[in-house]
Amino acid sequence: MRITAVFLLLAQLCAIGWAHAKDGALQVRVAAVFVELHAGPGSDYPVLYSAARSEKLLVYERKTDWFRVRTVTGTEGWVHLSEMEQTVLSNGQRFDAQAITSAEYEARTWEFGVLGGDFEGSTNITMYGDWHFTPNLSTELGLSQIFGNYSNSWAANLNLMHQAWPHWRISPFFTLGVGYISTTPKSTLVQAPDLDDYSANVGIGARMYLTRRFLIRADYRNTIVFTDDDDTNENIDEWKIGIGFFF
Amino acid sequence: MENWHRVLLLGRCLGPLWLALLAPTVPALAAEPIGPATEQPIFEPQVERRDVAVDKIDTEDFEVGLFFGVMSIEDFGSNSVYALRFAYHITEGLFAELGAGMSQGGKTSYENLSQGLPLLSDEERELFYYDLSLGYNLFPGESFIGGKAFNTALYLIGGVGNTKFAGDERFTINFGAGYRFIATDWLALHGAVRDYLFNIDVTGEDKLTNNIQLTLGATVFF
Repeated sequence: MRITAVFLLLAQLCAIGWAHAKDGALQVRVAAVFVELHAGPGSDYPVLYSAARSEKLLVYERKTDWFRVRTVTGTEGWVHLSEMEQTVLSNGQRFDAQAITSAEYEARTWEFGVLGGDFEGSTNITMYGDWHFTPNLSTELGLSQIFGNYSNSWAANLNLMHQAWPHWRISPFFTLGVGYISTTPKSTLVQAPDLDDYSANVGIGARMYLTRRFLIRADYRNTIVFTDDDDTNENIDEWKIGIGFFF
Repeated sequence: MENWHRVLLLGRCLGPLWLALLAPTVPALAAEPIGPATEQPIFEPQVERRDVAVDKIDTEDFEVGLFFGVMSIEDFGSNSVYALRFAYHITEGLFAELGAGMSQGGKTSYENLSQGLPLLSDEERELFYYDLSLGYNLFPGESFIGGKAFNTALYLIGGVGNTKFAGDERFTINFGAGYRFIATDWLALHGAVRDYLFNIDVTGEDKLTNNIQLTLGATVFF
């Protein structure tokens, strides 16, 4: 049943891909002395053809920073963004595909990433998604899996983050949030019940813009787990580092 | 439609120009600032230049697909494995991948020889994993079949994740290599070898195991 669903999904995606392939292409004219057509979407692929000034190119698709084009005589190849920007559209406007720069980073709305690190001596993997609703404020949903010697845990956290200087290349942030943590003791070691607890956390961290849609991020959090077996709450130090990308 | 756009643009460009020309002749106007309009430069850059047609070019940075093959689970034999993988191509070289798969462990040699009690229940033999990995297209290239050139890449990949097997969740490190054959502008075929390393303690001692997975896959770009 599950596999059938996956196949149906895949078939649908194939259909989308096919529909895209048949779409009309955008026509541009070379405005530089020449632009180079590579055999594939990467600078390592050999140059197949150089399109000279005034030559017309049809643009079909984009993969990362590369555009698949076809010349009037039917030669197909991939042109890098920096060279595509030296072409003009039929209405005379410059081809402006807006390379992803730090300006887009500062104006990002969505951010996703993966972090790894330490959770009070245990290994921690976290996936997160941020929604930046102002340049300074964002809300974050994080899902963590924690692998300990005697038990494993899943944790979900909802946080509010404040970034005081969003335009800094290394920009610190402050975070405050609540969460839920579910712990299962390892099956071979101890006979103990599963534990489900609420938690609250406070933390600091920093992001650094790397390149294109990439950023690096590190943070430290202090989490208090409100255990219900006695009056003492558990205090946990947690640090993580990882990679994110944004839209 | 376009003409109206131009009229608007001209209006926006020339509006401040008229004000600037008029300002010296009307001292009262020039003396007190009457709002941001007078502070605007005479030659305002045309910020509306971007053409939406460029944004409509189909970007194909995502890749999703199914993989099928064999997974050798250390001590528990080899069995078929199914995986679903989703990748985002960040640059021409780098890509991030999220994958999930399932397989099943067989019987250990001990269980077969002793004919005793099974080490694991059937449910505990089910293996499920997910991984978060970063890949790099190490050797991009071309393959030639029937006089036609196809883009290919040999990539290295590695990451972290979780494997649920033998009743526990296990922190897992994976690394491997794959070959991507781009058959059409949207379809790619893969052959991949990945090693999944995790600790397991059900065979008497806690040990690090190598669980090698050989798969073939088909992915689509969108």
